[in-house]
Amino acid sequence: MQSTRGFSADGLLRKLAKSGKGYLLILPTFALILVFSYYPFLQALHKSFFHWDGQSTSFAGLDNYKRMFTGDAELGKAARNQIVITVVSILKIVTVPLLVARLMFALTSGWATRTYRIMLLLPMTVPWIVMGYVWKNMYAPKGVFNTLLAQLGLDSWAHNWLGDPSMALGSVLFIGFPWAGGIAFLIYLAGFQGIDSSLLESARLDGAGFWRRFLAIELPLVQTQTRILLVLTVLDSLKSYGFLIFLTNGGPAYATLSPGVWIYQNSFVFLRFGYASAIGVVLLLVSALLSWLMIRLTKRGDLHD
Amino acid sequence: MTNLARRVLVGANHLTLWIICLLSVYPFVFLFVSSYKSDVQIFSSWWSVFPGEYYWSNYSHAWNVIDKYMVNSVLITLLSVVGVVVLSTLTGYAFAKMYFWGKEVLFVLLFLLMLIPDILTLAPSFVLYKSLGLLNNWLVLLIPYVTGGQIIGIFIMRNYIEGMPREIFESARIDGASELQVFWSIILPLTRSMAVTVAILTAVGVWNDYVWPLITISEDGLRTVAIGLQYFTTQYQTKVGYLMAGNVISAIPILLLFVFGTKYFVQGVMSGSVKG
Repeated sequence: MQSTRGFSADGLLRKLAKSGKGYLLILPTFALILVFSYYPFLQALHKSFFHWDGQSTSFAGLDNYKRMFTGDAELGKAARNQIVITVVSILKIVTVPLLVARLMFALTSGWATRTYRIMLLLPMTVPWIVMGYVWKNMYAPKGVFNTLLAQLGLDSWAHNWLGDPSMALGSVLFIGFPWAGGIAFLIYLAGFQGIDSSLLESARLDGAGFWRRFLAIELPLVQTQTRILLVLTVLDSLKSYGFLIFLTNGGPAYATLSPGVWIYQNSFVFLRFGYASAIGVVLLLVSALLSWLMIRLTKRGDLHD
Repeated sequence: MTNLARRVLVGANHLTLWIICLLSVYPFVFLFVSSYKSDVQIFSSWWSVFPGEYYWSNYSHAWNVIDKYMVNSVLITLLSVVGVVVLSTLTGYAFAKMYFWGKEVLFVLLFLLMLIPDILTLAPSFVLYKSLGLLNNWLVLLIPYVTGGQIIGIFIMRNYIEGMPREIFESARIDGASELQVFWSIILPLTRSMAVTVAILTAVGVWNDYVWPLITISEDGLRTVAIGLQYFTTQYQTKVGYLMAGNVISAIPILLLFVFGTKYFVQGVMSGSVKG
């Protein structure tokens, strides 16, 4: 059989003919993503250099980008909030779910493990939008939290939790307390269960105590899980804007504004689509840079193992 | 370690887990318990599970307001799930087991989509759908749900199908099965558990979506329940019991999906095929 390698027109045609069935299968997927994902994406890149309100367009050069760094105090506020949100999300994901997974790993009773697992997976089964409505309600001026405080005689601690600028961001971040539910603990648990038990047994026989085993053996061996969760958490916290728009829409007084929410407001409140696109492009660059950094850092970690 | 010390440790372990678990489920318990109380009961005895007098009529009041939103959400979710599962199986299979020219480049093209934040394309997408005349039309929801939802589905399916032995497909082909028969009678049944995982991920995403339908659907009769509850909230500001009943109703379909699908979903997560 003749080689089909190389760049002759004949070879290319033969390759394409051989590829026909494959192309047919992926055609619907690629038709959709080209028109409805890549086209708007390129549009956003392009329009970030224009003043654009969805209808009329005029060239703006680098105005939109300059404005971000010189004339937008709210964006600065949003960036600071974003850092707080991301750091707190990281803290949440590396503490409680890890603790829960380690505690469950130590259990020998299958019945108890199953019960805990059901209780911790329950939060996942209720749509977040529904829980959002419930938490909004608990935070209301006459909601459960304030009622509870009044009953404990702590009226002075009562707040309009989501309506008070000094409280709003903290209240938003508190939602989901104690942040144990969801799949994070399952991922850690799978990591603990994947550890070779003879390794732990021999460490025990060598007289290594609980903390030593935990820090020197178990923790390094669930590093892969921790890394996956860290990368997912950071990217997720940069991307998520829906929950904030739903809860507070960035308010009060921009106390819960994030870059994502600010893009949304610039688009659909102020109709500054061009400027919104420019912020979006910077957000994309920041998250691409962060992903690259995190992948690099985690790779370097591998060498030390 | 002495026996007693070990027992104390095990006890402390259980106690910690119980506290964490109870705090985690409290909002859900509160949601359910409040759904059959009057507003006076909700605030005066928020802790009580058995308030003595039950207001199950909260549910019929709530249902009267959100019934049309529920029907819309269920239909849109079903259609999106079918679209996503079909497309991710087809494309995942093609990437896992078929030869075609430019495969790697095309796969990178898919992967890059995961890096683009939705928010970046929100405004241009809105303008695109508007110029296509699709605002206030279910297609404005279905198209992006299928287009976006299939990406993670394709990765899951590709990983899974790649791990299946080639011989299964080969022997079916030798027996004279057509490509379509191979797909129907081998791929679909064997990927069922992954399809359930993809379906759950998609359904949860669609059910929760708030911002996109908020800006693209303004006709009340077409609204999904995530948005509908907002109008419900404004309408019944002072009727917390109705609201909670409405919240419970709107949580039921996804809850059922998990009840029937958790086995597969947990397997999927534990085996590492779902990383997001």
